Amino acid sequence: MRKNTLSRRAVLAAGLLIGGVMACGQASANDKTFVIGVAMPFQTNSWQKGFFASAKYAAEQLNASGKKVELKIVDAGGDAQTQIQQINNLTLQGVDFIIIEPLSDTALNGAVDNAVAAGIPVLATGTGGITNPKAIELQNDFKTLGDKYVKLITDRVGTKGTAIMIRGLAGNAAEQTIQDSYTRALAKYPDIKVVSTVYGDWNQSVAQQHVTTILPTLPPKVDIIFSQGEAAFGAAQAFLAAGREVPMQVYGFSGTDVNLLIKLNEKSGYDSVAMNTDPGVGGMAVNVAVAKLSGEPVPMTMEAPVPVLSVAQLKADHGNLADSDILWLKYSYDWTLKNIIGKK
Amino acid sequence: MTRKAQFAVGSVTLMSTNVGVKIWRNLLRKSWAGALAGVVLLWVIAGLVTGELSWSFLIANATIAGLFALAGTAQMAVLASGSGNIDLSLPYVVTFSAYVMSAGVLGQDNVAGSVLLSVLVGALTGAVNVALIVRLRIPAIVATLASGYILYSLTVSIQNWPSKPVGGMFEAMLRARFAGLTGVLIVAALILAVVGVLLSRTVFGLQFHAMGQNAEVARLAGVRRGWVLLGTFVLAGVLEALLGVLLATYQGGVSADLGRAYLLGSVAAVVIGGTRPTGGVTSVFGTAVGALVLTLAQSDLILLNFGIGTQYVIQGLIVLSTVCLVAARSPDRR
Repeated sequence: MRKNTLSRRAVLAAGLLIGGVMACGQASANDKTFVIGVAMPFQTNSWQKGFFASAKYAAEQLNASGKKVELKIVDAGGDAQTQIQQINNLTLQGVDFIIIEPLSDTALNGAVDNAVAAGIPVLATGTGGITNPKAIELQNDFKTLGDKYVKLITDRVGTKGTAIMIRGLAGNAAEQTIQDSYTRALAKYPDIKVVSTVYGDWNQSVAQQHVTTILPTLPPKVDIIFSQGEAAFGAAQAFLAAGREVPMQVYGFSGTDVNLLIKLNEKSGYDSVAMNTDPGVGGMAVNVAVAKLSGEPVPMTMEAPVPVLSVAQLKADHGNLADSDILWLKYSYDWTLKNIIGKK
Repeated sequence: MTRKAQFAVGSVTLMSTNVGVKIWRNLLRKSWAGALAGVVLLWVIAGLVTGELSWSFLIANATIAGLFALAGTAQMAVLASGSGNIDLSLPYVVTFSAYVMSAGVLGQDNVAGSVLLSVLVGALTGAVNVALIVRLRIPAIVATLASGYILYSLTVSIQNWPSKPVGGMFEAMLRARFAGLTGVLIVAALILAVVGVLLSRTVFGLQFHAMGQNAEVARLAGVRRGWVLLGTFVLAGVLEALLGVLLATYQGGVSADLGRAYLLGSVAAVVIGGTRPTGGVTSVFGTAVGALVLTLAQSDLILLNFGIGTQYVIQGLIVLSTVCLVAARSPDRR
């Protein structure tokens, strides 16, 4: 008897809930509260934490300026199948916009088709692009990255010297793209000799191991370290542990990198820069979503900048970054409109 | 018998050759003989490539190998404790204790306290593993994976705490050089020596080997298997925690994927070192040499400018051929 009442109540409650949700959906359309689904791949590394923080920051700023934005953040735990389901769920829930950090460049195409067919624009950013042309792309330009990167180094040590190369994760498509752009850029500097190439697996610890073991076989003076993400700190530590000077290299945005660069600079005047794909692209993507939903003409492909910060800037703005944190930049809505969406 | 007698009455020169042969035979009979030969070969190859037989190259590789040997020895103990046992929680214990060190869970400068806490967590993980395996009869491969995941989520939760390099005296000591050797290598060697004595010269060591060779016979002989298994997993957990402590301090920074490289490396070092993966025979020295073979092979392949695909293939072949050799030499071929 009592059970029966309970279940009746449950049905009633569920009915009310569904009705409520539907009512909310209608209300939000009228009040223009933009519900933006954010499909994150995983949240376990500092870059993703920065992305998350910057997306939330952008939403807060937009809310403060009078636009109503609500984020629905989901985390696929590193699994592309889960991400497909999450995108389908967001579509069924009737969100207004979906931002995806794709775990696969092809597997999500169907889910994206569903969303776009339901009238929900989809934007891919962060971990990479997808091959479905219906998705808006906000990506780093890896093709010109190499030129910029190599120039930062040659501006400091000249166009001659001995270098070691630390690549990323073997077999990864993005790794190959970045490496190709380095190779093209380096072709212009025949006097820079890469004497050894190791794979750091995009893992500080692995990069440090490999550099440590080959270090005694390298010439006494190594001028340059070229590296992909997560390697600069480990490589520098390998040189420091062996009692050698740290060669010129470009650092990343992680707390370990930034703090080491500041420390080296204070100790000996060592001068370099930090350059990274910016986790702040999360906030930028939220701004783009709101622009699109507000009726601004948003192009299908946009380019996210790869910021470069000098030691002076790092000291001034990011001097108290914890080792476990990552630096990300803040982009306002108006800045995004002008520099990302309006850029031709 | 007769042959021995003939030698005995032979000339002095014959006697001495005989002794020499005996030493060589003993050496060759050791499970780690092949690995040691591998080390020499790989060192010479590196020497040929670079044009000099560099002592510092060997020490640099030994320094990294010392760290791998800690992971290898932990895995060796678990592998040898009985067929089917493996510790998949290894990378997570390593990473977690590294975070305990550098996130200053007990305050940033409390090095001794942090080391103690790390070791405690390692021991506790080992104990939980054994509880799952013995009490709930969950296979080790599942139990250790489960406890590893729990530890991983703990790592993720303390990952947000502001961390900084351990630094100070401890880091200086690990990076210092004593008679050409690095501090971290000496510390790793001392830890391994203690484990070596524990496994070969104590009652626990005897019971541990008896259990690995034949669990049922060991039980009939009065070995309390649950307790020996507890000792084994706690030992492994403590070694993994110490590895995390050393890594966090020596490397100067931590990341969530710190321990990842050590899981496969640990198994490979054990196998190359001549330990039979089916249990019962162990050698801490062999595992250490196995780890050195792995790091030297990696360095040689980099020096020879092999493509990354070739590097993986050759590394795989090294492990595979050692397993074949060990299997061919073991008496109980199936």
